[in-house]
Amino acid sequence: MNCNSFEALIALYAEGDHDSSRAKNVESHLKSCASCRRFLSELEASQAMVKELAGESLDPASFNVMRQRVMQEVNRRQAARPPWWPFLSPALAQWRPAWVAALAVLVALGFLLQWQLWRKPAGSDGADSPTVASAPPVRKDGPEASGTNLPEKMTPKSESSPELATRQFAKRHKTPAPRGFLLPTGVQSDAVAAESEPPVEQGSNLEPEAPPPADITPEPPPPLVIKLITDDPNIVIVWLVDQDVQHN
Amino acid sequence: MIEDAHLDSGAPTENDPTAVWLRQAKAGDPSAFEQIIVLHQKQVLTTSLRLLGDLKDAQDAAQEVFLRLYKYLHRFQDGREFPPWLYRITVNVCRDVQRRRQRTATLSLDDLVESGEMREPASSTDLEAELSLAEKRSFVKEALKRLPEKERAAVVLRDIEGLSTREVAGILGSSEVTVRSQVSSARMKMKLFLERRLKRRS
Repeated sequence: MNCNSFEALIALYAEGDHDSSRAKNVESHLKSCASCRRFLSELEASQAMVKELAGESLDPASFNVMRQRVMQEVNRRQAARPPWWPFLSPALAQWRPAWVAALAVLVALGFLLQWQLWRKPAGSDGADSPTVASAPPVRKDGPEASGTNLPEKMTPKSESSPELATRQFAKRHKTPAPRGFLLPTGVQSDAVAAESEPPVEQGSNLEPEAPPPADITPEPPPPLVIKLITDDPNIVIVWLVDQDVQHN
Repeated sequence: MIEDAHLDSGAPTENDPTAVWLRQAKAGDPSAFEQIIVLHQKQVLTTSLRLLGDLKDAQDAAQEVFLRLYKYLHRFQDGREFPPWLYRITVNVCRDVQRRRQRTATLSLDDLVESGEMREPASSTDLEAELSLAEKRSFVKEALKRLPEKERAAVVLRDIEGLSTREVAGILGSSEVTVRSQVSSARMKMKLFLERRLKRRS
């Protein structure tokens, strides 16, 4: 190691920045090198000048001006804060990572749901859904039962729909609805056939395309279950599609 | 943004006035915050002055330091040592101020060393002889101004503020090896600059 390399080490040695082994190495070189001893002496002199700066004191007015300006701004900000800020701000600071994580999860879920709703019209038959599985038969009391949790486009028609009025008429009078009433095909077999006379009469009062009634109340078809498996194994979006409603 | 991952943790006791004022200031007491300013204004303003080299800039920077402190006070965890955290804000603010004002030195110490202008052998004159204190400080300030930003911050904190290499590394967010290298380089450049100044004066 030449003297130029030692100068960088001496610059640290002068202020005791070396550990003992490296300091001994520098000392042994200094014993044998007059040039480096002179360099150390000059460096100590310049360091003494640098440290003189630590003793410099500033005019107290400099501090006062700065402090007053700061406190003016602090008081202005303090007045603008809501009264609950001192209580809420420590909680916000302490739980900041949790807030950020929760917000990120919410945004991701919102994005996934929005994406599914957007895909729904094209993929309502489940053909292009990521994963489609048939669910075991689920007993339901009526077409509306399984539709309560479905998106708006998939829910059965509302209570004021003509189909419901037709069904109510048939129940009330124990006869099929007169001409002019439109019965939905699925509803007709459920609501009318179970309570009315044999299907011969019924056919004359209904639309020609109405299917023949069954002797017993048919088991409603099981709902179609669409599962969307995301990258996160903890997030699986399950979609129930009432096949009965789909035919209407 | 203020991060304090590398800062040394201390253990302020109940006798530490700053810890008491900090708790009250966090609770929204402006007079407690003013007490914190009184206790630490010298540290902030003098460090800013040494980093920026201009009193007006240093006052602006110190004001910004305390307003930033007020804004992020709730992030300061009880039990940590306060001065290193404040040093870190000060260094960050001064760096921002320096970049905003875009005031570049006409000739840096690096340029002088590279050109060989500062490689002349030092005179045997004692640097401290016949030199007033004001002159010495003026020369040192001039030398500091010409140092690269990171070396200046390292040498100000280590040699003038008297912090340990480990503390400086924590404040600057770098390793101790890097700080030692910056400090060594800065000391050699300042030695050359001061010798040259002295020679010119004589």
